[in-house]
Amino acid sequence: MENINKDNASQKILVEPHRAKVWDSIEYILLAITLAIFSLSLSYILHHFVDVFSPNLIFGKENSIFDVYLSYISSDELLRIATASLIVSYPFFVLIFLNITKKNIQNPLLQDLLLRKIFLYGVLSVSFLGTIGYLIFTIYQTILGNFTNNLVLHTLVTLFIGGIIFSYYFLQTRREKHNYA
Amino acid sequence: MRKYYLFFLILTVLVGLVVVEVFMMVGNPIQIRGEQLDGIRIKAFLQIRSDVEAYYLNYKRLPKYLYYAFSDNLNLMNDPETGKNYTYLAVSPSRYELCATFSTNTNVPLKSGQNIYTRPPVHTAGSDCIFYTIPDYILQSTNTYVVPTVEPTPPLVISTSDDRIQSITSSSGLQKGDIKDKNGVIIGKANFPDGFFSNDQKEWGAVSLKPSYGNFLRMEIVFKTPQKIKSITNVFTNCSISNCFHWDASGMGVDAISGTPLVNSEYVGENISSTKQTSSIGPFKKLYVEVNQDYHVFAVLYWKKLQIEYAQ
Repeated sequence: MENINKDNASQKILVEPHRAKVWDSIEYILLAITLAIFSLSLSYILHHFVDVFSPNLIFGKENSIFDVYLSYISSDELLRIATASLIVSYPFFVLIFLNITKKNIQNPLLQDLLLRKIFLYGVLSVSFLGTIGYLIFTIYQTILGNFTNNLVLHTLVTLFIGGIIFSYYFLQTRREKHNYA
Repeated sequence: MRKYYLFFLILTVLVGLVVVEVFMMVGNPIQIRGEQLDGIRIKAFLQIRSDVEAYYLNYKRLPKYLYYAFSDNLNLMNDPETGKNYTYLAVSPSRYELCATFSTNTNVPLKSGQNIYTRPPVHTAGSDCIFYTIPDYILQSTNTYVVPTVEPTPPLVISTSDDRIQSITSSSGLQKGDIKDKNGVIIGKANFPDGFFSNDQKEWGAVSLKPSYGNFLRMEIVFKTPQKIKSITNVFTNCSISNCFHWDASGMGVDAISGTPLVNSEYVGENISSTKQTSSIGPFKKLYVEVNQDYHVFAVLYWKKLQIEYAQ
């Protein structure tokens, strides 16, 4: 009888983690949304700081990707929109991120969720594309002769934010591969 | 988990610093609200200034009370925050002050991107006044601006001395009574509608103070029986700017449901007999004649004569 109970208990431990709820998947969608809003708004604000504190006196603001494509809205308005987005998205991002991380530590089998994989590789791809895209833009501007402190700082901001996101999730995938191996 | 909590603690501090820096850069919400309220106050002041100058043009003096200069925008005189009236005081014959309780102090050095033209008028936070002076071109104006003495009446429907006309309706209230010059001498009278048709040069057909929509006035003339119209003549006075007025006319046929344009935007200056052949003779059961005074700074529209030449 005792053996049967032990077997049941061990089965319970093995089986229970597989019963991932729909909410676990939805959390990754919410995490992706909040991460996108948070990182884009923080990125815009930091780029704006660069333009204010180290303006490009030779080429004006034309070298900023944001200001080229969003120039029809005043930069102060955009800054306010970005700040509002940051204030709203940041707490949600932190809560969802911590909740997911806590659950993954307690229940490692949740890491096999399909949506988690899609999220991981999606974030890796997007952050890589964004970073490499900005690097191409930087080199293009350098070829045009626009090699200024402003450009270097813009590039550093992009590398900093894109780099943190990319390296965190890249290390996650590496660790998982290592664990499976 | 501890390392995550530590990371987010640092990140939260950084995000907080970023938000504080943004507020320092673009202004905090309380300051921005104050600037917007002051913007509404200054906009109201500019409107009041325009009305006071229009009053000065007509009466050659500053109004004693602010509502003398306002006939339709009374809500503009209220502060958007407190709801109280702005304070107006004439401090000299050509200088006056407007006071309000401002939210911000603009008596500071120019910000980057601001120049002396885009900078708001200087005032301090709290109760403060802005002085305005009547500009020289208004002070030196030599026009004789005549003053109707009686309060405006509602839009009128009145029979006329022209026996073919059944009634004339004015689009807005009109002045009636004696018209005086700036020295108080009676120079004529506003006599709607018979003044239009009489040959007395001291009679005005319609005198309208601050017409309801801009400086626009329209007359609807209903005939007893459908009439053929050959030409229309108008005379306007008291606006020395060239082509100050333009007038239009249209007629409504017997079975028509929409008007036929008869005269289109005829520009004319003051004291000129503006006669225009109609583009269609009719017959018409109704005739609409409207005038626009293009320079809104003149608060009174003087329409002296409106005469119709009928075709056989």
